[in-house]
Amino acid sequence: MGQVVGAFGLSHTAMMIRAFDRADPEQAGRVKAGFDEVRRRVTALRPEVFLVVGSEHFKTFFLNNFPTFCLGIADHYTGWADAGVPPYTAPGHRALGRALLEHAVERGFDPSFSEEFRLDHGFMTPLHFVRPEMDIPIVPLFQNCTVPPLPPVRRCFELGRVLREGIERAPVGRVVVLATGGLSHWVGVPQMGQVNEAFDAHLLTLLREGRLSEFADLSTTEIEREGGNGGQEIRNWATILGIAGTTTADVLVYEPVSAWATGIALVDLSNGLQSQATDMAVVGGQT
Amino acid sequence: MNTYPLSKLLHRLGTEPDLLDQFRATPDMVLDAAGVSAEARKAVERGDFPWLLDHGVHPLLLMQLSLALNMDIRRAYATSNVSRTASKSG
Repeated sequence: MGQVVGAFGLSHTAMMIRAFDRADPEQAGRVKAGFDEVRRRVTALRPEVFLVVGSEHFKTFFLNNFPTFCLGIADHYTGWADAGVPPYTAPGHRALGRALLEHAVERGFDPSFSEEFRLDHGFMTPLHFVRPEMDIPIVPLFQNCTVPPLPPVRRCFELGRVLREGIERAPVGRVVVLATGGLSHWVGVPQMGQVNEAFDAHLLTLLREGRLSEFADLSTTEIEREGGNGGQEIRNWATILGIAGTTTADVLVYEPVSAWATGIALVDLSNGLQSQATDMAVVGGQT
Repeated sequence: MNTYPLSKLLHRLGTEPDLLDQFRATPDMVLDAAGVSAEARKAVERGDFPWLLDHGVHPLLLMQLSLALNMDIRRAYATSNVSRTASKSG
């Protein structure tokens, strides 16, 4: 049965790859070093599967038929090679995708599902930095973070809890979950380029102090006002908080990169999982 | 004002490289074929991002338009604000 061994929240921007050099070199260097550290930690966790929770930018999903949640159930996932991301194809983990779909439906969620789920930079950017070999199978979960009405953050958090159950019942081994997006940023609107450091600091405080329920209670209106339309992607983080169950975040990087128009955060949310694994090992040793 | 035909076109420009090339070469022809309304078309022609945003074109699709037009969207908004302010004060 599956075991969640790691959880990471990772910001992305289209410019992080395409216009890496446009940022202040020291800031860009710290972000790159942060991704290198995430890569080191993820590799040490020996994942067999990545569950990648993200949204996208009207490449695969459009207004003619737009899902709130959509699970990938394919054997492979081809990227759009947009925003400067190399033309990757990632292997898929069909069995986990199907298991999560069936469990989610059983437990009262109704995700769409797709055999043809191409991935844009929203999904591919973290994989590009963390596992460019593309040799670990993935399951992508799309969440609507862009087109109102957005699912409440709490709903995403609750979906995460259900996915955790699903992973633990699925025929897989070690699973690392990655959330992609956020923190504050404004995309395609007049405020583009702004970063709200105070709001980002508030989010990171909630995570550092393990106040996950407060994170889940953030309203769409507050996020839009304080974190911008791009900040709505933090509901992807909420989903993996639901999966992690309990955590006090290890913030590896926070940089307000105005040249990339985004508050960039790279956060390890795995420490609660490690203690849960230890608890399980202790229980296992006693029986 | 229904801007969905323009939205659909912008989505296609982001996913169909041949159509993007065609749009850059002969925008009139592509806008005609997509059934874009006259008002929306004028806004595209003058790069009026505030108008398009006000009329329901999604910001992510406006990013796509800025790429198609080779325009810096931040600069385009700033310019529009200046011209709006100028026209109001004039």
